[in-house]
Amino acid sequence: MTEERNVTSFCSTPIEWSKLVAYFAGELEPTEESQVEEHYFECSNCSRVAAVASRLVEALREAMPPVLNEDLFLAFRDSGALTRIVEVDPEGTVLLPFETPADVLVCELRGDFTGRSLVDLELSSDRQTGRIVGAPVSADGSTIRLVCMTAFAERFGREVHLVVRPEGKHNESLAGYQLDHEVR
Amino acid sequence: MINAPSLHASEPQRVCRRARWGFSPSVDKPAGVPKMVPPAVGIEALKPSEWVALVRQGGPDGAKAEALLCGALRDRIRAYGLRHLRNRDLIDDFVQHVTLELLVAARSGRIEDEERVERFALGICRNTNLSSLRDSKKQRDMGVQSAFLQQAFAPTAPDLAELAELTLCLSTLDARARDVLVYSFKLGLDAGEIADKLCLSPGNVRVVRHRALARLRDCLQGVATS
Repeated sequence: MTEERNVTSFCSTPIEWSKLVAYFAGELEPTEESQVEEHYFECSNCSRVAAVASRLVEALREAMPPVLNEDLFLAFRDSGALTRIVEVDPEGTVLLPFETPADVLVCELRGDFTGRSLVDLELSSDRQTGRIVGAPVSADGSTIRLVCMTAFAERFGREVHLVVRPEGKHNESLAGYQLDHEVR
Repeated sequence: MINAPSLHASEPQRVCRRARWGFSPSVDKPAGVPKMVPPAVGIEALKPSEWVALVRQGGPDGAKAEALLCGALRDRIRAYGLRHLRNRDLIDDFVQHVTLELLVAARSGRIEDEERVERFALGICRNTNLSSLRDSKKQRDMGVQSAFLQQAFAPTAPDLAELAELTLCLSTLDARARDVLVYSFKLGLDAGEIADKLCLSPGNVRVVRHRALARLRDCLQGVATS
């Protein structure tokens, strides 16, 4: 199993990856939680696996998902996590101005995506290409919410072309957009 | 007030810096390495219990051993803090507080069973009053004078390059796996709450969650080694 791969042979009773993940999710019983802590403190091999899991969890707390479903969009908007929300029509260009490295912009990609719950987004620039699989479409079929962060903008560069494709399809196009990142 | 152990700027600062995504081998080494090491092999090759002995003795080797001990246990202490605290600043304070307590105990010879120094560190973690962590900021301001410890205890900030890598890897997960990770670790929802939102069973959420985190780990491991 992939999830057991990081466990080395130095430990005869390694902590299972699934248990470690449940530990960081705070879902173990107190006794089991204590046992996990004692194990990763005293076992240098399992401490390395715990360190990897811990860094992933810590980064997930800081990061934003690349796309948002309606529920997550409302949760982040209401908590003040979103700096700005901008809209763009099909074949349109949108300016995404980042004032600070911590800015989180949501780009609402408008279009007719009726009948689809998920689509794929293909991004390309002169620096990088990328694909976001399973981007949720709003219930009325009109909007996809793309999260834009400075880190992502710096990676892709100023001008990014985005194509919306049916889920799992690589040639068919539903809409195209031009994102213009402006990092100050 | 805790007097921070002093270290020199020339000492190996890398030991307290975490490897990218934690995939590089830690500085501590597997048990079973002989205690008697050739002089050519540095202090780095000793066991944590031997570092504690050097810390107790003091001197330049003791200072170096302090840095190594700190580096070897830092990720474990941070993992404990991460599990029990959600705020990054408080986690930073927690790591600083526990590490200082550990070093002071080692210097004063209060660690009775040096072979189990890792367990001693866990004891400090458990005995730390998480709600009074702000006091430790005072210790940082008043007691941490060496450049090494100032760097080690500097407030951490999200690494933008790492966040971009994480976002790219999150993009490769299917929508359900990605949502489970976000609800679980970003929003702090438990498996039952996520199950209600995504029309899954709690057991299914747990399976999706640990598999998704493993895929994320593998994706980032590929990025880090490429």
